[in-house]
Amino acid sequence: MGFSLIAQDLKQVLRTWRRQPVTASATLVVLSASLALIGFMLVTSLNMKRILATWGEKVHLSVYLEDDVSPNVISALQAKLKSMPDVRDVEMISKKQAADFFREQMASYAPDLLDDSEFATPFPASLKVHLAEGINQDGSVERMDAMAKSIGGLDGVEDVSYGQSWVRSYSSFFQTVSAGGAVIGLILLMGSLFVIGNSVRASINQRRDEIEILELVGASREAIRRPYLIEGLIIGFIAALIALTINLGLFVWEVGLMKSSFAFARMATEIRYLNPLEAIGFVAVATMIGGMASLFTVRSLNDGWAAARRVRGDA
Amino acid sequence: MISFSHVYKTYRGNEGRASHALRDVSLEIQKGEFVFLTGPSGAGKTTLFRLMSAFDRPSSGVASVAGYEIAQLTAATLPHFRRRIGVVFQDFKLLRDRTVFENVALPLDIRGDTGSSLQRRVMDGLDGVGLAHKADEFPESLSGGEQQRVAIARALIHKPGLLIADEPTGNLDPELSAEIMNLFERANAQGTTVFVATHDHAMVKSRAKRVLKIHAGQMGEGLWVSP
Ligand SMILES: Nc1ncnc2c1ncn2[C@@H]1O[C@H](COP(=O)(O)OP(=O)(O)OP(=O)(O)O)[C@@H](O)[C@H]1O
Ligand SMILES: [Mg+2]
Repeated sequence: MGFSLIAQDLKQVLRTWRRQPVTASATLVVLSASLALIGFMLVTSLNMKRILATWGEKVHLSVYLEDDVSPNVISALQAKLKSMPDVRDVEMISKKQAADFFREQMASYAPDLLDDSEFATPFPASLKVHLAEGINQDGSVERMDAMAKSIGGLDGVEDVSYGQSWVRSYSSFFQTVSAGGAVIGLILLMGSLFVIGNSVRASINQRRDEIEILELVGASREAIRRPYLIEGLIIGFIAALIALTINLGLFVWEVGLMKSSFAFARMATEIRYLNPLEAIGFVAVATMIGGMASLFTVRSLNDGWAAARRVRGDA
Repeated sequence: MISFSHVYKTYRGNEGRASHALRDVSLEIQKGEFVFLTGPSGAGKTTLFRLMSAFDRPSSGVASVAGYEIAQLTAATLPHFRRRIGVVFQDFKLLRDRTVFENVALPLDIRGDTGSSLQRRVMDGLDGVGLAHKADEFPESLSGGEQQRVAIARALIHKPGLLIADEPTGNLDPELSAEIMNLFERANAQGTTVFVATHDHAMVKSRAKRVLKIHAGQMGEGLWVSP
């Protein structure tokens, strides 16, 4: 019986849409577009967070050593650094390692450079200080500044560097974008609720007579509301699928574009689309929002006395 | 079955002046009775039936029908009340995008009936109003009289304890009117209380039933005696 009930509800939804194809498709288009935007911002913010996290792992302090510093001083320095609260590990990078690493890095960016014999520049030995998790993220830029300053004063240290500028600008950029995205997302979400509610209102208005008659012959509230609830769920579901498809297309196109550009080639390998679980979550939330919007709308009409409410001048 | 006590239904006009569509109406109809309601156009017949079917609430006074007090009905109890009665509205109130069959099946449908027994009952009901051959048509393609008979079949299909019919023969010729009245009398014989509003004095005379009269919102009583 449950199945035949739902089949009947679906039949009614289709009847509504067949009667108002323009309203139905306009709703779908607007909703898909705003969900696509929400999805785009979701993907962007997820990726920015990921990039911040993976790059953050690579954030470390490079403590460059004075040229002819004795092994004793180095081990004392190493011990001192290890005892600092935010330090996870300290790694010695010899002059040779530094040069090899540089060569390796350059190979992917500018292979021609390696053939240049002038490029046998000597690199200083350094201590690579890996930081404890979390320090590279939010608000800890100041902490790193302070740390670098105190290390700079230690014995045998020539210079300290940690990519100050990009850490600072990336994290503040990320915060701005996240806040802006959240605001726009919220506005779009409210717009979507409105659009779904409106579409359901249109089909309710069109079916006002039907709701009245169903009430008058004694149909239960649930039975009357169910088709509208289902309509909202379906609209939300279909729009979410369309939005995800559009987004995936855009994403693939964008990644292709990035891959062909020197500056972003590396980034293109690090970003990704929503994983299946996130995609399912996105569709589920959109579907639920669709159902809720229509439920709120139908509740305002279907209270058992819909017919009486239309009587004008009721005292 | 029906008990009204000092019931008013008041509408506020355009200039905010109140006018009483029903004025101090009191009446009693016992279970199993067959009662006609007559009165000129605008007298308040439809208004009275609206209150009886919980289409609308009284402005004041107490109206109770089939054991329910209309003003006290809640969203939760309303469907139960309405499933106990059958109503033929003056404007039929058929669902436009459902077939004649589906319209008549509605009262059974909403209480969860399905299958061959529903099929049989609906076809019997349509047979009773002479419309079995129109089962698959939509109301729009039926004449006024045919639509009216669909509404009548729907009001009787679930064997309600009370049938309220607002001018159920208004669009029918004398023979069809007589057939519909016979149908009501048969339902009445099976225990359904029947309350019918009509302009058709000849028919009221010929049936020798209790008659309530309404005029300008006020009730009076009379008994037509067959000649
Ligand atoms: N919604 C309303 N607002 C204002 N006045 C109303 C409303 N409904 C009915 N009335 C008034 O109440 C009075 C009774 O109307 P009602 O429809 O009950 O008459 P009736 O006896 O059914 O007439 P008819 O035989 O023409 O169907 C009329 O004067 C009408 O104008
Ligand atoms: Mg009337």
